[in-house]
Amino acid sequence: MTTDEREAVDRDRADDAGRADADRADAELARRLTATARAVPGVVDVFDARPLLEAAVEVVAARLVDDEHRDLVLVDRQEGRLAVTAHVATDLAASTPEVLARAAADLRTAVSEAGAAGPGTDVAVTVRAQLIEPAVGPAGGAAG
Amino acid sequence: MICTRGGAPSACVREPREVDISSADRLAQASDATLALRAGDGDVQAFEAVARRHGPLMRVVASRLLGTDAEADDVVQESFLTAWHRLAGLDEPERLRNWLMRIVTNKAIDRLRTRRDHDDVDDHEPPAPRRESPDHVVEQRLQLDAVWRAVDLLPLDQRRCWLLREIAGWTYAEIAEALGTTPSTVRGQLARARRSVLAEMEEWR
Amino acid sequence: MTSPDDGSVDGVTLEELGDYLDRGREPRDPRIEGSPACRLALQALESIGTLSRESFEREAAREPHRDDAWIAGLLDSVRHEVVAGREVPVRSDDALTTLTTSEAAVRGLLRRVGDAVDGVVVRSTELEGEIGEQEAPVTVRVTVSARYGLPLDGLSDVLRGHLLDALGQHTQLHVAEVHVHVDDVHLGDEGPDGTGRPGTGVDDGTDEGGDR
Repeated sequence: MTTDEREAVDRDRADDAGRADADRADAELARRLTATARAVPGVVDVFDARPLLEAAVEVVAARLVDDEHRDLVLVDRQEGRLAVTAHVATDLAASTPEVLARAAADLRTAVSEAGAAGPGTDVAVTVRAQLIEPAVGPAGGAAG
Repeated sequence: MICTRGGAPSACVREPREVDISSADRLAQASDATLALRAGDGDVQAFEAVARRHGPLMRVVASRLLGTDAEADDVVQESFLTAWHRLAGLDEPERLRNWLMRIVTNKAIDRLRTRRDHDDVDDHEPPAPRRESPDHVVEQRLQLDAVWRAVDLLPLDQRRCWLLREIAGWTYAEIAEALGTTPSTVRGQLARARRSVLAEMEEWR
Repeated sequence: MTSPDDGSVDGVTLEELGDYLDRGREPRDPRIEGSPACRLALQALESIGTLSRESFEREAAREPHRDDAWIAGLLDSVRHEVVAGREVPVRSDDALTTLTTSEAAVRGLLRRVGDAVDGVVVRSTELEGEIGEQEAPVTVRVTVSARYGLPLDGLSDVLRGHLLDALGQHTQLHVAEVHVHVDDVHLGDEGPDGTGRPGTGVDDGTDEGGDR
């Protein structure tokens, strides 16, 4: 291998390692955001917002992983933009538009607290209510 | 939820939790047409009510057509998945049961065809498990036992014609097409089946 | 009824009788209808068909409740395929924040609210209009089954009111009209023990005037 080739391989390895780190960080972020979403008052449940393929691959693994530790919120990072998507069920007794707005705000705060988006990175947040139903058990969105 | 509107008395709206507890009950008692419409509307709970209500009979029919319980379960599951996709387009929701019967018998027949193609000979099949009632005093039960046994004793081809005609309500042409034979053969099979069953019932009497 | 070995009755074979029965006895065959023995035979054929169906229903009723695991698997698959439909937007302050509610969620809401009205079982729901556009007028159609005996106008009005309230609470849709269509009637589904009913109030047999 020539010096140039060796340097190219080293660069590739560093890129890969960097990417792997970033992926892990984003997966961790997704888990935190899932917990954040669950904790929003008026959010009764959180659904999988990830694309079907990813979700399917996890099907077997999911059985073994505690619900609370799964990442259901979609975190998608592109050049200059971090997109967060959450699919939720909202409380019948609450006002869905208000709950959605609150969820978006809380998710933004969590992203900021995690330092997940540097200056110059837009954070786009999407929250979608897919179900409206009564909260079971004690009122409120607080979950474990 | 509020109980009055603008000061005028109105029908009370139940508390959400009470709705949830009783909604399964009221769906369990709703007509087939209502359930079909709701499930077609996207209501999974209504679909569940449909599956609970019609699943057992569909499984029995599939099992008698196929000869095994295990495959019958698969066929019923597939039938309900198909039903879920097509419910919204169901023209006559009140004919839900017939429609489901049609789906399950079609799928069972498809399986039979696949078996034939793969040379799985299934002419020797175990008789249907007989879940006898411990109480043998009621005549009606005995009569049903007798007819169940009578149909069960029929040779395979005759039994299939019987099931498709008497239980699923298919025409001779439909049965012929499904079993890969002719309507006149079907007519003959049915006649033989009927003679056997009549004779069996006669003996019971 | 005893069938001779060749299976014929008064010169009519069992095959012909079966065929005649399966055709619904149309067109009327005087040879068969004119023979009491044939008519008895038809009766017998009909009765074994009925008994056979009943024996299957009975067998089905005896199925042990292994239903539950099977049903859970089925419902899981089905839930994953619920089509969300269109998205109903919710206003947000911020160009980078998108808030929506799925059409499926709104229709589920209409079903829930409708069911919560005593004597009503919702059958179908529809949102007509450009629900994806803020401010676009939307027509809501709900078809229901009403309990026999309830005054339908009053019921429709009450239901309409509750639907409007719920839509106001959970969406920002501009609802131009709510159509309630009663196309089915059902008998009372609550037993004498008042299953599912709140226990307060006087049951005066109408849907107005208090708890039922």
